[in-house]
Amino acid sequence: MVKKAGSDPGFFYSMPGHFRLYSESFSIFKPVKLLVIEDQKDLLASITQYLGGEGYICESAADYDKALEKIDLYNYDCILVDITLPGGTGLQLVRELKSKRSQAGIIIISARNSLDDKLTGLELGADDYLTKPFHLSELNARIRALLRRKNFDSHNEILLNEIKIATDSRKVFVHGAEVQLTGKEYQLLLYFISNKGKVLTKAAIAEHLWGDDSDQLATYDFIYAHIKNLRKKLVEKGCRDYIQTVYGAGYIFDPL
Amino acid sequence: MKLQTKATLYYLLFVLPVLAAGGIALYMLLTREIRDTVDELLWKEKLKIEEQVQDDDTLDAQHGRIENELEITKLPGKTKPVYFFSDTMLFDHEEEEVIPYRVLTFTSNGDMAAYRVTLRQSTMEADDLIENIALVIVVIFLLLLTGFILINFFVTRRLWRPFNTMLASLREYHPDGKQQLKPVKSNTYEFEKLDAALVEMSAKISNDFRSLKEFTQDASHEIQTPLAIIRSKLELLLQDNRLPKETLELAVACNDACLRLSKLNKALLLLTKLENNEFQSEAVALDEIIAAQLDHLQEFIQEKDIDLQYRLEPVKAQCNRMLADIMITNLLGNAIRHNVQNGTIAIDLREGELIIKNSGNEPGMEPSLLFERFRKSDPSSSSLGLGLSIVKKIAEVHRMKIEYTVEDKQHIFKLTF
Repeated sequence: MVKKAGSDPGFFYSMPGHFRLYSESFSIFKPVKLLVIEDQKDLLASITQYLGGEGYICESAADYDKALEKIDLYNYDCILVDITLPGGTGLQLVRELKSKRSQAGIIIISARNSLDDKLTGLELGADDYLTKPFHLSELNARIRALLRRKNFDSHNEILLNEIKIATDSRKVFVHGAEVQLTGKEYQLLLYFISNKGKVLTKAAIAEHLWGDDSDQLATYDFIYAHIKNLRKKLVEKGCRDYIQTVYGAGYIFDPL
Repeated sequence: MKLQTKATLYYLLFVLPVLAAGGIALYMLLTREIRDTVDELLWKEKLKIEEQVQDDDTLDAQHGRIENELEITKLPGKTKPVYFFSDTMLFDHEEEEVIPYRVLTFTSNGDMAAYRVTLRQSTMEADDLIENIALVIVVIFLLLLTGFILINFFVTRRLWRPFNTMLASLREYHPDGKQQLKPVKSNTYEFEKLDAALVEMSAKISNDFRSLKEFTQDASHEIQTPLAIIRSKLELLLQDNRLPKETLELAVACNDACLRLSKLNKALLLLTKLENNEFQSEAVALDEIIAAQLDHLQEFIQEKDIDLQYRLEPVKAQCNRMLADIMITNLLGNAIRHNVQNGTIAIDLREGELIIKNSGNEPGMEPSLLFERFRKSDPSSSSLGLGLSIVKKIAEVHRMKIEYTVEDKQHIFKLTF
């Protein structure tokens, strides 16, 4: 089941398609660096392709030694670790990272839906845990959420054109006027914005909102009703209708 | 019948006739020997008397003879010499009882007269001897019998103990890969061999079982990875907005099938894990889990305008938290999914039982069959048909019981724990 984090410190979208992180200590905008550690080459390619398209700088390592090398040489904002790595488990990498006092956010991905692994990983200091197979859009949403959490600045807002989301208070504003959204509608909006420009399948949305136990109950009509309501509320306050239906595939938040 | 008893009976079947026959034979042999000896004695007497008659022509009656032993009768004229043996009983004044005699009666011709002589010999001692011998035989026989039975009972019981131990441990043996038969020590050749064979067999069964379980789990894990790859590629494919609508539809269809496969794999993996019984239990507050789930599923309940009634007592059950969660999610999800618009759901949780009732259509099959894998009440639906088998398996693992009945369009699930 999807558990949402508490407060989400914010970041700025200064340019569509690119994601910049405001770092108070340096007062510069720097691109977000990710390291993806995954031994399955095809999957690694998919992930880096998707995330690259999101504007992250994406590096990869397919085994323990390479990963260790990269961790030693560079700093990353967020690291994705596959536990089931050959030559030493990903959990060991998590320990390594923590022993170096790395500030990187850590997301564990695993083929084993093992509660023990999950608990151990989180205990060691990983920030989140995803089980394969997952929607890439879900992975992206988790990375965004993690980065927001990590960035403990006073900036806790997401700005996109006329939309402002105050993640601390979970309030949404269009042209400064508050929009009353239900819990699910808020989550939906956040999911769309985190994955803007990407097609989101009905399955991915259902799983994100209701977890993968109940998504059977979420029919097309059900989801469409939620999206319709969200769009209506935004448009009523003068927002552009960013959310579009991609016929046959799903929905997309198109900021252009 | 026990083996010991059978063996005893067979042995007795042999021993009884043999001993009986032997006893009888011995008795008859002895009797005959003694008789022959007495007869010889009488014959010698006869010869002596015949000599006397030849020499003397007079028979000195009874000198130095014991009473009853000799009778002489003078015959009128010459007669053919005959003799015959016989037995008789006479009263003896000394012993003051009737005793048996062996008798030899013969006629003898002298020069001038003929005599009929009757010689008798007491066989009392001989008969006593034979009686005693017979008694001894019978006593020996009885002793052998009792001894045999006793030895059988105590000694063989001890001898068979290793076997009985093996039998007992075999009864408790479950070939689930977790137990192995413990070797039983014995210095009896056959039992050693039997034990070795059993231990080897159980080890092999354990191994095979474990391999099979590991294989099933490993296979499921292996499936995850290619599935993950397919899904990720499809997701990327869907991002391509240059694709014509028809192509996009194909990609979506693939994606949907893939998601189904994912769920199937995950469900099967859970089922195999349940078979392996790898979960730990704790005291879990069922009312809290149900309340949390109802909260989570609120929207879906409202979507169908379902009238929800529930009564949750603060009940704790000893089970695995995650499994309890899955079980309740499945049951509640089903109650919603198979419900009708404006339907009802009634939940009653109390000590020892949980009852979930929901309105809905007829199941279309025998209620107990629904718990089998891949059974769906609506064959065309997109569900996997595994939800209830998982529920049943979880119940089994925790030694709970789940029942399903239908009563006037109400589906009733009852969980007893």
